[in-house]
Order: sequence, then structure tokens, then C-alpha cells
Amino acid sequence: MKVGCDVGGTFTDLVALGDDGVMRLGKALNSGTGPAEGTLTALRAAGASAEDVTEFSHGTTTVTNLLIERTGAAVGLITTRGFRDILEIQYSFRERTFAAHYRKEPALVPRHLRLEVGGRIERDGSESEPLDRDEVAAACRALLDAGVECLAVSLYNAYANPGHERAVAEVWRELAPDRPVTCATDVDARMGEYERVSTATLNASAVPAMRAYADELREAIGAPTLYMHSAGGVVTPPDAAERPIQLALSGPAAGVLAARQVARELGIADVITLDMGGTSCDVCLIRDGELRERDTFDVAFGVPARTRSIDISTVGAGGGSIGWMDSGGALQVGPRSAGALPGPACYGRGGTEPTVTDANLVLGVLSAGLLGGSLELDAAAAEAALARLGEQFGVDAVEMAKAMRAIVNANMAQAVRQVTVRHGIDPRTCALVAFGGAGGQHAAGVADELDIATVVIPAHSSVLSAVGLLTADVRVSETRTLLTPVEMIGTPEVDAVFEELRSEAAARLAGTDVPDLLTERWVGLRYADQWHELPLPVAGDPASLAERFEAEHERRFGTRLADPVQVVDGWVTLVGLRPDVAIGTAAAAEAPPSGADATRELRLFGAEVPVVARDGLGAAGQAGPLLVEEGSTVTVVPPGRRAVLRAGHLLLEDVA
Amino acid sequence: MSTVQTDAFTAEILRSYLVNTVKEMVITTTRTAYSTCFCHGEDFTCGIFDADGRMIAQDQGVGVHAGGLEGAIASVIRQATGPWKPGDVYLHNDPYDGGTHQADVCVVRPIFAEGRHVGFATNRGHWSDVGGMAPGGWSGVAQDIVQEGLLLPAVQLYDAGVLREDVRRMVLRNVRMKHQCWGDLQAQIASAIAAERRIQALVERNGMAGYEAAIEAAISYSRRRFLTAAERLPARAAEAEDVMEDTATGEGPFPIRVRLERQADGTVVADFAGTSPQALAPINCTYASTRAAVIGSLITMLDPDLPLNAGVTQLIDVRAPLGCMVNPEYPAPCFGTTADPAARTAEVVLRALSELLPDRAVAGSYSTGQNATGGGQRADGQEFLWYSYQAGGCGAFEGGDGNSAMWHIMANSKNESCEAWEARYPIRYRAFALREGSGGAGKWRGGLGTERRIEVEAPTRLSAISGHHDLEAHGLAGARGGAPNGFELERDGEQRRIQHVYGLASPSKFANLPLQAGDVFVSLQGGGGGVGDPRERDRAAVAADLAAGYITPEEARDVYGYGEEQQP
Repeated sequence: MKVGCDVGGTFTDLVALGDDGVMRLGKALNSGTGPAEGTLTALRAAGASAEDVTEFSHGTTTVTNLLIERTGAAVGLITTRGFRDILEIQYSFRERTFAAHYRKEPALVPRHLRLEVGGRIERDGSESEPLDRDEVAAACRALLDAGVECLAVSLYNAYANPGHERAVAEVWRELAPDRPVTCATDVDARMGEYERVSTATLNASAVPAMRAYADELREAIGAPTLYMHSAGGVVTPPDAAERPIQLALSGPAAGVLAARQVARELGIADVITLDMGGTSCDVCLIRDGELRERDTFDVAFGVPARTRSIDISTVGAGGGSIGWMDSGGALQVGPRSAGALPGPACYGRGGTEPTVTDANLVLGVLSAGLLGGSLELDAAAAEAALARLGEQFGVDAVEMAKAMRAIVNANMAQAVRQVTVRHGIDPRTCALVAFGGAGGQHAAGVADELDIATVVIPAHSSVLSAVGLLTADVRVSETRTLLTPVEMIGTPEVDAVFEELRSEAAARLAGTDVPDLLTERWVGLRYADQWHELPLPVAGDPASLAERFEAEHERRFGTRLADPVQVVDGWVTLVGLRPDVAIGTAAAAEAPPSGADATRELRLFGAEVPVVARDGLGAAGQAGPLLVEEGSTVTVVPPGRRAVLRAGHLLLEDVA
Repeated sequence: MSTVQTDAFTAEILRSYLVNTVKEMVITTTRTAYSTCFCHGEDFTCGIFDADGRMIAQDQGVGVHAGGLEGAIASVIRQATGPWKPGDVYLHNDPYDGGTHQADVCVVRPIFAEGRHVGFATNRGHWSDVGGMAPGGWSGVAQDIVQEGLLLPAVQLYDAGVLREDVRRMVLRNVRMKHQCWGDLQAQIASAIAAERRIQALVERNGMAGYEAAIEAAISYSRRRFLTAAERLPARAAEAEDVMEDTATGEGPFPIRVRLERQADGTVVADFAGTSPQALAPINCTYASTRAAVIGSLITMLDPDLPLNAGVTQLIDVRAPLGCMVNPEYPAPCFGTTADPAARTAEVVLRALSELLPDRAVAGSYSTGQNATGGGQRADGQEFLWYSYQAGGCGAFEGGDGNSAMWHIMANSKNESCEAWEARYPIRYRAFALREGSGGAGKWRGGLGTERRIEVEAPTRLSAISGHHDLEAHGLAGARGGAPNGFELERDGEQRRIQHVYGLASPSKFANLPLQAGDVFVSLQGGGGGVGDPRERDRAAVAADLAAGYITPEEARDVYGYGEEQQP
């Protein structure tokens, strides 16, 4: 039995696919002690046990949380003389223009644990000053005496020649064989001393915890296991443990992968995904069926992790987002969230501030008996919370709830606009694929803001991330800075670099059984004087690269420039394909909908509307306004849209 | 799906749409620009205005650009000939009429929707070069403004979308690095086009009435918010003073004085009467920069999240006699305005505000851009030009230490990678580090300044405008000041002040000094002032500072009194 298992902030979501082709869904509350217990509980909920598992694909927020909360191991840093403060200087960039009363993010490694050594590599990779191994050993000993649990090595210009970094790591391993060391060039081999040292120290801080995590999971689940990384591929447990930084955004990646699969099943090329949960909403663009990658994301403001990830934007808009009046008298919703505790007012756990979930309950989108029946919702408490806020604006609870929905929808629409602007794309040409606990409640509202005609609510949308894990391909990338004219692509010199990168990537897959390994070669190109690159695959005639770059530049930015084209970075990605699963048509064993109401008063539209089970929509579908239920999720179908089933997925089509 | 009627909540959503339109202008600019200033430094600011030139929204860009966009729009509206046509583009950089310095070129493009002229989109950005006597413009020795480069009072570059070739040739013929300048200019225009498309989409969806309601919502929102925040200012005046240190010829210091008072109607008046007359040196602060300094300081002290627009700027009255150092007229040089004078003017205003709001008091920062350029030709004849500006130590505040290696409030730019510089210019970085002991001692310690050591590998002409090289950033309430800024040169193993190497009257202002290959240019950015008596600093914090090397053992013992408590 193949299993996809996603450990999120609150729940572990699991999908088990048996030889019979039936998907079994399981969900468990995280116990917080480690990955094993939640995973085993979720397996039981899906009617399976550890012995049944033949293949285990895993996504986890462990690294994310550890980096954000700064709860990783104590790291020491060895760097080149003159550069130990690079980590603390950061970008010298403020989040707000006019601010003086704040403290910038402290360096991950405090200054007394950042030690400098001599030795110098020049920009062309040559050595102008040798490394002194005795000096390095003294620095290692000083750090060990100071109690560091692991080491990061990040040397100036090492992107051009990692020799000195490797030598430092060797010395460390001799002195402290059981304490991990991260060479910056092993996790980020590109030019840019601050990004490299930041990425290396973040990675080092997560290695001890990730090693322990992988060990625990291996004991609980004996089957071959793969870990989802931020770029939407899976890697082996040792690779995940030694390069945990690549897992930093693994959470939202799996959902996007599944959404892409859903789009393929529907024959839709351009898609915006909207993953709306309790505290936030993740937005991602899929163009021509392809995911966009970005090379860096910020762990905290001004603290970059340069590791490839799917280009996903997050906005503080979720079911728990709180409505409030700001000092200018405007209604704001989020980014503060009531979370699970105290939770929305309607949870009856002490929350008194109105949340989006409260608004949806008051408007009839949610019913008092929903959420699987495990939680009684207190409609009176929701109404009271909204009425209190409404008093400040001079409106009643229902108007307040409508306004909160409008604001939170506008916030999500804005996030979509920024993603599309960044890529030079008009959102009206895309379909919106919405999932996550609250996705169906808001999808049509967001789509209306953006004039998007087609909305898709995928099958199994509440555990879509776990579904995405089932089919994720193995992907391992190695990157190097080339800084060479585009004409050099295809020459034996550059081919040799690509071949080195390929074998470095292959080494990371050693000892695993990966079928059908494909090799992709990529380059980041720019006009010689620019600072931003466009990624393009090296395929076909190398001579066509420059032309493809210029065409892409014109498509995105509207201009072609009569300038030389330069290759900044080159990278190789090894892809091990894993078989797809038809998400929409796979048989599923899932809890039936509540089925409590045939109709409900939907104050959102001021009408009594039908409540229809997804599978009961019929071939012709049904025009809004109505509510569609599937398991524990509900979808709002507004007037002007028709709910239909296509390839097993729920579509809300614009009929206006 | 279009609705014509606009209720309060819808107006609110549209207000936020307008603010986000400006954010999208920023994304468009960084994705398409050419120069390091634009792409890494993000040294540009975008804004949208209504058809009357009222600011609707502006991005959180460069502080010193904040007050000036309105002035530039007003100047262009006044001078433009004929009715506005779709696709018109004007260039503006006049320091005496809404501009900062010539290098900050403002692109102004009208916004048309449903065939009507409904506003302007503008993008002010720092070009790599605008001509003048020093590559990159930072000549410390200029004596009049014409020496500082091309002046663009309101010059039409596109007429109804058609490029005016003669104007293009004239502009590019007068600048160095014309290639980068043209690339950046196209990015500025692209951002203005992006804004127009967004406004057109809004009008299409919500009608012209929706657009107009959104503008009013934006302006009245910011106005309300500012008035609420300004209530915290006590109903009395505060005065403060600081100086511009010197000129290249050794004159100075020149006082900058302000008297600040909130009026009964909520308007804040900043009166600079008593400030020194303008100098014939690039240390004057253009009126737009002075306004930016006042506006930025007020927002910093009152409400850092306040969205800036006409609702706020209409409530801030900046009075400065024409011909004084903070409102100069022809022919006073102004190139330095965005670096030292604006930052210094902001320091004066912050000082007055710190007296009025003691619980928000903030000490002095290094407050200079330490702007320096190095230009020349490589062995193969190819031109190069690097432009160095760097952050330093910020002032402590009541309740927190000052930030190290962070920009003062009038500027905000991302550091460029040292390695990327080496790959692009004939230089070699020896170090980029914090300056130990540079933060002003106090109960709350000032932030540390930074040190850059740049070895030049080819003959290089060095120019600079900086300040406060002999003066400290002030401390407050019994604290020490932060270390001054500095320019030094290491040559043949000996490191000295540049002033002494070249026998100059000023330590911080010079042009075209000949550096030899192998020289190391050392740029020292100062520290921030502290707040409160150093002996009251938390002992664990002193110990941590000592372990980190932020303070020296002598300083710990003598200034912080560290170790005394262990004595019998």
C-alpha cells in the first residue's frame, strides 16, 4: 500500500492507496512529540497499519517551524577573515520606510561563535592565500569548547572554488566526528556571500533535529520513505537529514503538485491555486502546466534561505483571521488569527473576537453541526462577536459578516494579482483551483473579484496535500554560478560543468531505487547588465537559447534589448518519475456528508438555498445559489455560477 | 459583475486596491530595471496621483523621495504644454522645483480611463549618471548646480506614446552609462503603464464613481489616522538644532534649526527660520527633501504604518525661507541633498519630536549615505563606475538598542553582494564588517557602524559627499554619542585619513581623487547614539556586548562601570 502523509501544524493528513486502487483517507490530531504517533494514528484512521505500507511519502512542517521559531541547534560559523559580520549586517534593509523603534532580526549565530580564518579564494577560483589548517583546528576547538552542536562553513568567493570549505569541514570531522557540519557550497553554490552564509547556518541549525526525526520515522515505518522538499519533489531520508533547508517550504508544495495534477485531468493549462486554511492562504501560479520556481525565500524579513522552492505566496487570510477596526477607522481582516485556541468565537473555547469562520456561520455558509460533528458551533456567540464589531461601524451582525467576507476575499485577490504581475500574466486567463479547509467557502468570491470564469474544487480537497505526496517525482538539483556568455552553452567546457553537476546530484540518490531517471539542464539568463535572471531549460540547439531568452523577456516585460546575453547560473535536475494517480476518478472510502439539511438559509445571498452532496449534482449540474458538501467541506456556489462535476472534480462555471 | 454604487466597505476595498497598485509598480520596476541602484538598491519610489496632482498612494520606497513626488507632479502639471494625451511621458529632476538631486529622475505619465484623464503615475528613481563633473554625480567640490549634471525641468520624452527622438538623443548624449540609464528609464515607464492598466480595470469594474470614491476614501483615511496619532503631541513648541559640518573648501559648520508645533486644527508646522543661508557647496537640502525629512520623522514617531498620501501631507506645513540651506535657490549645488542634508534635517526634526514624546525618544544616527563613486577605464578601455553607499549605526530608543548596520530613516537600500561587485568591477573586497566600539554607550546602546575595505585594481577616480566625520551622532539622557563617519586610505601598508593623504580641507567632500591600483579605500560608517546612563544598562547585556566584541573591555570598565559590582 502506497501512503502519502502530510504533517501540518495541527493535523496529520494521510492517504493510503491500496492495490485495489481505492484511496483511504485518514486524519489525526498531532500529539506534538514526534512524527511517529500522529502518523500511526492517521494510518489507523485510514484502516491500515505500518506493516501494510510498501512506499511512504512524507511532507512535514518540522523544519519550517524550527526555522521560524529559531529552536534549532547551536551553530558555530567559520568564515573568511574580514567577513564574519556579513551574517549580522544582512541586507541593511528595513521592512518599513519610516521606522526607528524596532530591532532587526538577530543573527542566527551570535558574534562570539562566528570565527574568522585566513586563506583566500579569488573570483576566478584561484587561491591567493592558502588555508592554515592549524588555525582552522584552533577555531574548531574554540567553537567546540563554547558548546556548539554543529558547524557551518561559509568562505568568501567559495562559489568559485569550494576547496577551502571542504578542507575546513575535514578538520572539523576529525575533531568532532559526531557533530554535523554544513559547507555553504553544498547547500547553495552560487555567488552572493550573504545568501550563502545565511542558508548554510539555517541548514546547520536544523540537521540534528531532522536526523532524529528521520530516525524516529524509520523505526515506526519500515517501508522505503521519501521526503517532500520545497520545490515539489521528493528526496531520500539521508538527503533530507543533511540538507534540511530544502524542506523548509515542503508543507504547501504537495498541495500545489496535486492541484497541477487536477488541472491536467481537466485539461486546463493555466491555473492559480488557492490553499486556504485556518490561519493563512497560499497562492501559486501554474502556467502551461508548469510550476514556477524561485531560488530564495525569506525565513524572516531579511533572512534568506537560498534553496529552490515552488513560487508560493502566503497571505494572512484564513478561517481564523480576525476582523478589527484600525486607527484610521477602516475594517481590517487578519493577519492576526484566532488559531485553534482560543479559536473563532463560535468554537466556544474562549474566543470573543469575530473571525472569518464566525462570519461564515452567521451567513449560513457553515451550519452549526458541521466540521464532522466533532465540534458544536455556537452561532449565538458568533453573532454576538460580529454585532460587537458591527456597532463600531454602525451595521448589524449580518452586514458585518458580509463586509468581513468581502475584505478577506479582496485580500486573497490582491495576493493573486501580485503573483500574476510578477510573472507578467493576466489572472483572467487562468482557472482558480481552491482547496484546504476554507477553500470552497471563498473560491467563487475570490474568482469574482478577479473576473476568473472557472473555479475548481478538487476531489478530496481537504487532504489534497497528502494526495500530492503519493505521486510526487524524485527531484534533486545541483547549481553552480557560470557567469559566461550564452554562446558558451554547448561547448565542451560548459558541458563538463553540467556533467559534474549531474554526478553530484546522482551521488545524492546513491543506494535508492529510482526508476526512469531523467536529466534536465537549466540556465539562468539575463542581459549582461541586468541583475535578474530568467530560468530556461537547455534543450535542443544551444544556439536557440539566446533567441528563446529574448522571446521570454519580451513576453514578460514587453521589451527586447540589443545586448549580449549572459548565463549566470547553470543547474542540473535529476528527475525520477513516479506513476500518476487519477485524483478525480480514483475510488475513495470517505466519510459521507452530514446530510443534515436539504436546504439552508444562506444569509450571504438572502435566500433559502439547496444543500447538495457533491456526488448528487447529476450530469447537468445545478445553478447557484446553492451549497455543495463533500465530507466535511462545503463550497459556496453564488448566483451566476453553475456547479458541475468534470472528471470527478467540482467546477463552478461562470454563466453570467 | 459591475456595481456602480459604492458603499463604505467597498470604498475601503478599492482604497487598498490603489495602495496595492503602487506595490505592483514596484514589482514591475525591479523585474525590468538594469542598474544595481534599481535592482539591488531599490533606489526608486512609485506613486499614483489624481488628475489635480493630489497624492493617492505611494509605496514605502526611499524616505527622501517621500515628500518630493508631489512637488515634481505639481511642477510638471504647471509646465506641461497642451492637454494631456494618453501615452505622454515627462521627465523631471529640478532640485529647485519639487526635485531632490538631478540623479533622481522622475517619470510622470498621465493615466487615462474611459478616454478621460484621471490621474498620474510616477516613478522617481536614481539613475547611474546624469552627467556633471564627476562620474555618478557625487562631486563634493561642485560650486553651482550646472556642474552637477543635466537639469530636466519638465521635458517631454513621449508625445502621445511616440518617442521624441531628439529628446532621447539629447538626454543620452549628456549622461555616462547611457545604456543603463535607458534600461532603467524603460523600467520606470513600464511601471507607470502597469499602474494605468490597473486603474483602467478598476474603472471598468466599479465605474468612474467607484474610482473617485476610492480616492476620497484613501485620502480621508490617511488624514483621520494622522490626526488621531498627532493628538499625542503636546500643545507646545519644541526647538532643535544640528549642523552641516563643512564644505570642500573648509567653511562651516552651518546650523539647521527647526521649531515644531502642532496647531489646534491638527496641522503640524515645522519652521526652519534661523537656519543658515545656502552654501555654494553640495550640502543644501532641497525643499522637497526638507518636506520629506519632516513628513518621514513625523510618521516614524507617530504611526510607522500610516499610508502616505495627500491626506497626510496637507496637514504638514513646512516653512523654510527661500535661499536658506533647507530651501535653496539657483545656483546652490544640491547633489548631496539625498545623502547628508536630508538625513541631517530629519535628525533635527527627530530631536525636536523626542523632546515632545519622551517615551518615543530616539537618539542620533550616523545619518549620511557615505556616498562615494569610483570611476575609470579598465586596461581594455571599457568604462567602469561603482557607486558605494552604506548603512551604519542607528540611534538607540527608549526601550531598545539601536540597530547596527541599518539605514537611517531617510534612506533604505539593500546591500549589494561584495562578490557580485568583484565579478563586475576592478575591485577586491578586503572586508565588510561591524566597527567594534562604535555604538554610543547608554542604558540603551547605539547601533554599530560598518567598515568597508575596497582594494582598487585599476586607476580609479574617487569622489564623495558625506558628513559628520568629526562630529558624533548625539546621545540622549546621559548617554554617549556614536562614533563619527570616516574615509581613509591604505597605501603601501599605511592607513590614513583621505583628507591627510591628499591634503584636503574637508575629510568628507572631494572629487576625482586619483587612486592607484593596490590602494585600499576604507569607508567607515559611524555608530548611533545611546539613550540613558550607561551605568544603568542591564549587566547581562553588558556582558553579552563584551563577549560579542560590540564594546571594548576598557569601555565596559570605564563607561559602563562593568565589574565594579563584584568589588568588595
